[in-house]
Amino acid sequence: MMTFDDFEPGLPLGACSFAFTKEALAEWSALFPDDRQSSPAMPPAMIAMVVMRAFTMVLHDRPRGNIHASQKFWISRLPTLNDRLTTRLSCIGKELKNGRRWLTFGTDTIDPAGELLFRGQMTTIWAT
Amino acid sequence: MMLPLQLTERRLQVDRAAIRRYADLTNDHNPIHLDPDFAAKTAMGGIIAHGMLSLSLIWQSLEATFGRERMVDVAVDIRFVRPVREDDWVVAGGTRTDDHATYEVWVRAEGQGRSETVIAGSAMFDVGACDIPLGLHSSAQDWRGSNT
Repeated sequence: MMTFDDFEPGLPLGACSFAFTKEALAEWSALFPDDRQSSPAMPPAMIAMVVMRAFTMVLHDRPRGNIHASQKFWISRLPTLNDRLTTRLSCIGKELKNGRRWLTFGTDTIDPAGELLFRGQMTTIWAT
Repeated sequence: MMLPLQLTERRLQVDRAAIRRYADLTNDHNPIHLDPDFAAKTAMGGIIAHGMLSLSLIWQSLEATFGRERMVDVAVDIRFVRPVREDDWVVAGGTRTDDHATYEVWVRAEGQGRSETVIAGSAMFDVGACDIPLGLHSSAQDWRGSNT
């Protein structure tokens, strides 16, 4: 299990791929029907899903009880249908403060050409 | 061009089916979101929704106001202030600030006799990636967050 002591700021943790296909959009739209539209661009709300999926798959062995405290996103451009995305996850901050174990993770999501599509920063309180 | 003062609100009922579907989409099957018996024994006292599920409503509010084509070089910076309970309705919106390129954004949870802010933050246009600093930016005060 990944504990607080295992993380080092600046340490790349891994990457996860996601294919933005019609099927993926259909699954998303089952939850958010308003996002089913003719635009080939990904609904912006889906970027959080892409990032969270990368987080849970790269850090699959994480303790129960972590708390997601805050989140930043920046979109350079939205992916378009049939784009294959890669999200890279890194630890970018670590602090023990008031008895709480603060970890900050950075995510960069790129297209196959390496263009940065969107960037995220997730701050958590790690359970153990 | 003057940006609108208010963002178009978006709402969703976060029932068990919605939470289950979001768990499957994100591969986040933390029992605090899915297992009533487990969740009841935690400090949350019951099932809570994924924070990112409610955050989705802020993006939808921005998109509803400006269109998907305007979702370029746009940033969102939020804190999860309170948990969202199963069966709550969540409503997202925002108000333009004085600098005309920034909105204060929020998500409120409504239901079960309450209406309170669960997500608070800002959305900014034309910021550039360099304006997202790396490192901690949140304080530990006045929030309970959202389990991951």
